[in-house]
Amino acid sequence: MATSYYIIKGIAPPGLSREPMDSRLRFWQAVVDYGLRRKDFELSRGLNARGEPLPGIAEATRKHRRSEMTPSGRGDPRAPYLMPGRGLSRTRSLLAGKAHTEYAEFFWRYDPWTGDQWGKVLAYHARRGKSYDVVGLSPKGVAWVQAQAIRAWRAWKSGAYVGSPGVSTQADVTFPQAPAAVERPGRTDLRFATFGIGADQASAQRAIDEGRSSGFMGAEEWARYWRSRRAPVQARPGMAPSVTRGQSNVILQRIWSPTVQARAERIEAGINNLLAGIGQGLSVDQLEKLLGGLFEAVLAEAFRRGLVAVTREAGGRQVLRVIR
Amino acid sequence: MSSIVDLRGLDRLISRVRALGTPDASPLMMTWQRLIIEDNRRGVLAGLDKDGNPMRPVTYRPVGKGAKPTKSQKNNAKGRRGVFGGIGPNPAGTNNNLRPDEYRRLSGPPLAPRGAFSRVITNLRTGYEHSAGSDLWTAYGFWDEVVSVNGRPFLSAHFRGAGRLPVRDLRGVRPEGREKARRAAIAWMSDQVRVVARSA
Repeated sequence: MATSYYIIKGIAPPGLSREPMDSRLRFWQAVVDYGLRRKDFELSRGLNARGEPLPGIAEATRKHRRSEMTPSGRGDPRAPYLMPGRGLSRTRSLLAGKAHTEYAEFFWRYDPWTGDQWGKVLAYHARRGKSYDVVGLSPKGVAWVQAQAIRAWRAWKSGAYVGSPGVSTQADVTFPQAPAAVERPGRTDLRFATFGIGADQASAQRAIDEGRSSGFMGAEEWARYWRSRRAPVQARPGMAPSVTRGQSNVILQRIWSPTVQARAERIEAGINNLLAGIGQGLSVDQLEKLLGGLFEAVLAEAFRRGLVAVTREAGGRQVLRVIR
Repeated sequence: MSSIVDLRGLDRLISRVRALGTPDASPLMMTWQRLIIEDNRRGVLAGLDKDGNPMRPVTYRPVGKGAKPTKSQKNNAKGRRGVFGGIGPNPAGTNNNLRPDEYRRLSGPPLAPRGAFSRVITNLRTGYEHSAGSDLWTAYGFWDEVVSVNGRPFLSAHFRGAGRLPVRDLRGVRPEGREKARRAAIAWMSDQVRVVARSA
């Protein structure tokens, strides 16, 4: 079975292994950035992992070409194999890279249509023959990436590094932003609903009322929604170049948007909930439920900041109070 | 009716995902919604209930050799996929109900005389929700506007086996679908860990 990802290693400048970790990561991050750009360039020209043209597509496929990523669901009959939606195609838009201290890793992200990492699908195609294999970078491409990465790294070492649009000095991908929000593209009228699979009507209605529900639609409506156009996703290191350049739809926005709320932010939000909960007279059990697994961390931080204190009431009962 | 995806044995992966913060699981919800729709379609057409067991066959139809639905009975749907038909006038009839003499001639599986064009398939709707303050994401499906000529929902009577009706319960994801959902969850969690976790 062909692999679903590839790595580039063995192209480091002499002496890199003796450099501090930060310096090594900077080199391999440059390899990731230039490697992504080069791979996207090769894919856009219909080249396989050896840098040779991908096989053509069958006449029947060309005639009825479809794409799961374009708003219309139609693919470009002239686009290369595996890329009917060109820059929107998963082969290009789900490509990702990650720098490690000794190598650069390239892979394809989760694909909601197949329920698997897109690289697995590419690996299946590669089983048809080497000319169908896109998992890898051509030797010419690797040489180009090596030259560019060494140049960028030496510039950084000498203090003259200014970076290129695709080159980041960040060591890895971090998503430091807001918590997941549920958009509501669907309908919400449950009057004639017969429940159901996965939920009952009361809980679905509650989620709708509380703004936690996507609403509901049929399969075709959902497909159209997921494929519909969206604003470009904010560029970040390790992201597919076609997405960085503005290719976007709902799927790509959800896959690539910063969605992980940093622990510090969760604790911050937890402190607010703790103070509000105490103000409403919630018991410790209720507060624990409200804050989930963060209860102890939130409480400790609130104590440390002097926002709450334990006081003793006349009957000897200990009470948690907000200090105004 | 709850259909739980069994994630036992994945404690380490789950704890690594939780440590990342609050990932947006809507791409996984998209997969799960598609699984709900596909599992329902395949199961109904194969005559299987929510647990993957064969449903009790219908005895009063087909009358004669058994017919395929006509174009109007399919609500003029093109191709092999049906279209939603709910409350109001439809080519197939009021509130998308066939006349008894029409559906008695049809040879589709239990609860689906029109096969892929039956309402248990075409009127399945899906959505998802995220429980505030927790890591719980839920994808769900239900049947919308499957009502009698008088406008009364009737599917739950079949699901429960009300009166003399045999129990034919479709409210769930079959074992094969649940396994697919589990595999998708693993793939999505692995993606999150791979992208967000610090470099080695």
